[in-house]
Amino acid sequence: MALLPVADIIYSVRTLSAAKSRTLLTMLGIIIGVMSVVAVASVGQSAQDLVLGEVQAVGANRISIFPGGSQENTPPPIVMGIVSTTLTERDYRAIRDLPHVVVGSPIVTSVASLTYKEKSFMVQVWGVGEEFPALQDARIASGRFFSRSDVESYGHLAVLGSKAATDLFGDEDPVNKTIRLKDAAFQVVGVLQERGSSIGQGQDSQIFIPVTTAQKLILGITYINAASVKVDASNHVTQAIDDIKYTLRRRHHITDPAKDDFSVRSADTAIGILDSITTVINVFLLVVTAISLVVGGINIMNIMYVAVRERTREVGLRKALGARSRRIFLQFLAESSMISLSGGLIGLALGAAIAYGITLVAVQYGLDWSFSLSVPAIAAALSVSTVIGLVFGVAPAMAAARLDAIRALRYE
Amino acid sequence: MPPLIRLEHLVKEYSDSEQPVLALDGVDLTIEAGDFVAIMGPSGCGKSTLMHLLGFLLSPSSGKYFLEGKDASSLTDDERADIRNRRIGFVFQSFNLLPRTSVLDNVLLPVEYMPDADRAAARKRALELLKLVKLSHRLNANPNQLSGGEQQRAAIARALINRPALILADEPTGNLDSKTSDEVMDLLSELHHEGHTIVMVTHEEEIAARAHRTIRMKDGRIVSS
Repeated sequence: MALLPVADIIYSVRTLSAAKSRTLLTMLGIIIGVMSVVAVASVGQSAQDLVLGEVQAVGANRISIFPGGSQENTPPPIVMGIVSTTLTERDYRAIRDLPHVVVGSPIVTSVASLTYKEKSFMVQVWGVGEEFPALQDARIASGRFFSRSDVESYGHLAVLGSKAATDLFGDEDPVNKTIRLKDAAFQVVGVLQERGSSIGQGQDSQIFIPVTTAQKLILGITYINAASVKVDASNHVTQAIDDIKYTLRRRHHITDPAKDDFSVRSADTAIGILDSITTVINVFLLVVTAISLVVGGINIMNIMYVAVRERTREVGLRKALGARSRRIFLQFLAESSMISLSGGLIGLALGAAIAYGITLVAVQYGLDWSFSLSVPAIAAALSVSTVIGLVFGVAPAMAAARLDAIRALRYE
Repeated sequence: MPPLIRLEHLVKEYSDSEQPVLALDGVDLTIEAGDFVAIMGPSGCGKSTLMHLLGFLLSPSSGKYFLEGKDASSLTDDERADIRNRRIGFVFQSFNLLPRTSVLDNVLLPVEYMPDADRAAARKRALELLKLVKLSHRLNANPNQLSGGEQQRAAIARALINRPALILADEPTGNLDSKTSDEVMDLLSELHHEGHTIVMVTHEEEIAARAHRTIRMKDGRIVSS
């Protein structure tokens, strides 16, 4: 006996299409379920790609060092707002001198009041090293960045982010103008080109001054908030991390790695953490939406029970003409699977359309968003919907198969 | 040569209700191949039960049923389904054609349940049978486009598709007016003359008169045959 008799399937198609609106209603649960699952899977994947891509773009071959010890897979304490004072600019210089390290910068951040003529407002002030533009792939729009000797001599020099420059000076050329940061005079030496946003953070409103000046004049501290370096090749990242840890332990007189008072992170670890976080979120969302598939399956089961009842005489006839119970079972099972699979196909198309629409909107908003609909996701959506048709079709199909031929034939 | 059907003290008791019902109370009956038998009797006399037993829709509670000399008294559900499929042709009072399915496909429906059927030969036979019942011009019509008489003729063609040993007709003219009843009875008589064995349940004397032999039943027993 053929597993899926063609004649039964043709008859099912005719029966289902004879009651189109009912068939559509039967499918609706599955359509909505598969639609949501596909949309969530696709949008989730795109969002994950976007976040990871941005981290990757910023962080290729990059190693960041933070004060305060932490486990490899937990954030450094500074992320939690805990201030540690265990990393200094001298530590950074020692790291910068290590092999494979090609560029880097110490970083301190603060917010300070800025005054130019009668304008005055609060700005983010970053104290950085002379290599900061190279580290961040930032270009100078006009003027220059400060030099190493400017850093060493506590220079009162400032470089403006593009937005900070326009906010403050409008069409005026800011270079060589004097601004006041926390009541100290700074000479503007350069303006950066627009950099856009990274990981949702605007990068153009900051003001950059030598790290030494920021420590002493603005913050009154001797430590740095972070240091960031780039190595020459990605296959040297691991080696460089080991070198950095060794150097810092030696400088900090640490013998037991468990007592490290610093944390070293590479983009790889950041990507790893982000990847696992976003994957968990995606899976959670998928599970929540998948519940609607079960509701869709129950809906199919209901309607199939009604169909079996309505077609009792048909079952009786088929049995009288020699259909075995198993064949009746398969006929109704094939029908519920067909409903479910068709609903799955429609849901897949709608879900893909929703995800594509979101892509269009996201691209409109300037996000580097790419439409993604993986073959495994499609296969999963369709096989899950077929399986649901099978699972929730079993009970009604068994009810049909168990019908007594004589009573079924007499059923009005 | 053994008779087509021999029943020996066939008993059918329905025990699923609170009060067991003795629907057949020891029926002995022989039907030779080529016979045309009408079964008559008041309602509740057991004629439907006898019909269902003859058609393998039921199993007897006790007694023996020999079909073509072979004991067919205790069979599994699947074995009975296979016998219905290969040896029995059913004609129902309410025709029972599948909706949204052409006359030709309705005639071919029993073939669906024959795993080893020669589809091409079956189709050829279906066309011949539809010619016999004068429906060659309605091959692709749906049942709801046919008159009652046409539907019953299509159903008779369906009953013949498996070259049955026995045609069972349950009130075949019950839903038809007298003119179309005559047409259907003419067709059954023609089949009888061609050598088919027909057992027909009816409560109309003039319909029963078209049969070769009439069996009268009362209270689960045959009172005259």
